[in-house]
Amino acid sequence: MSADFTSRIKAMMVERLFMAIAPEEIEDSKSLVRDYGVDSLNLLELVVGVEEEFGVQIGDTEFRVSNFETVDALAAFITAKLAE
Amino acid sequence: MNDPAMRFSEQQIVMECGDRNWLVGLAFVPDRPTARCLICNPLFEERKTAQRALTNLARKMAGRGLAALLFDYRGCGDSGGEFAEFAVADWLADLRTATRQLASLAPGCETVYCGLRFGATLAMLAAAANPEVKTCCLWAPVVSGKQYLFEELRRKIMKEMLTFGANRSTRDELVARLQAGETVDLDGYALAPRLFHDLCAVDLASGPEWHPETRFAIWEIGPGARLSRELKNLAGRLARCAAKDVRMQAFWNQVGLVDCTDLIDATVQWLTEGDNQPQVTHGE
Repeated sequence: MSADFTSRIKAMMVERLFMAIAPEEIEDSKSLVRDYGVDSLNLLELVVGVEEEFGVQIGDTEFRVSNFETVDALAAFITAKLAE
Repeated sequence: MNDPAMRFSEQQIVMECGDRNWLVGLAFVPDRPTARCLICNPLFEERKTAQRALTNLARKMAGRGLAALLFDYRGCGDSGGEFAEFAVADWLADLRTATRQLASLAPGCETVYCGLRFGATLAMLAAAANPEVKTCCLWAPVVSGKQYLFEELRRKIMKEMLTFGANRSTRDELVARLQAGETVDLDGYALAPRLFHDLCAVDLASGPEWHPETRFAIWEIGPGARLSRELKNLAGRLARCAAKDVRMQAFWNQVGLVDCTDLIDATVQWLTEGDNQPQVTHGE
């Protein structure tokens, strides 16, 4: 996964979720829910952010914890979506 | 606490509806009100998370001479009835009931409607039918009821994912159940088919028509720094409209308290001083 790609994800997360940290401080393998406070209320914001930033559509059956667990997981998910 | 600029009273109001139900509200009335403002709540969980911000808005208004009434629709909050019994038409009737009550609290004043999210939508629909409403102040109005509903269903599915590890339903399945006449649970709110159909029918982009003298201010609130296309289009349908974008968290969707002071101050300033107020750019 290119550093630029994950950087875009992190920048989008910080902007859309109003996170009080810099994008580069987000670690790729840390839990978005446990370590960065992503909850069900702002998860929708994250999903919309992914769709708008990367031009993909996330279907209801693709809502899996594993796809949104970490930045690495999210990047792999988006990459797979872009390849469809 | 009273704004030092003007003293006002705070009192709980109970309003009878014609169907043996009642509306409960809080009225904030200054000694000599210059206008009267009905504040329209959002729906579902948004009502709870926005409560503090809207109460603060009401207090700020009263401190600046505007009588304010913040109330719950039937089936919501402290008001009577069960949520599943009511739909958009009923809540528009509730706005009319609350408007009459507000007029009795602050007679001889101009009527203003304020609303948040679907409360803003109800305010706009009600204003179109009531030429006495001269001003509408709208925070993040829902333009398409169908899109709003689909977002809420999507949020439900995401909660299922976080709770159970995977979603237990899809939006298509939930919609099919509603169309078949079933009631669907939405965060503990019984979304009945009648409300489902009412929400799907709401589309401010295509109707109604508003009086050309009615003054509108629309605030887009969210992470983006630009007005969405749908709110731009809505503003374009209104003869007198100030449309503003505010970069701040969608506080009605947050677990923690979001400071809405800047937004509240800008709103009250617009109401009391017109369009010559500074752009709100609050963000974190």
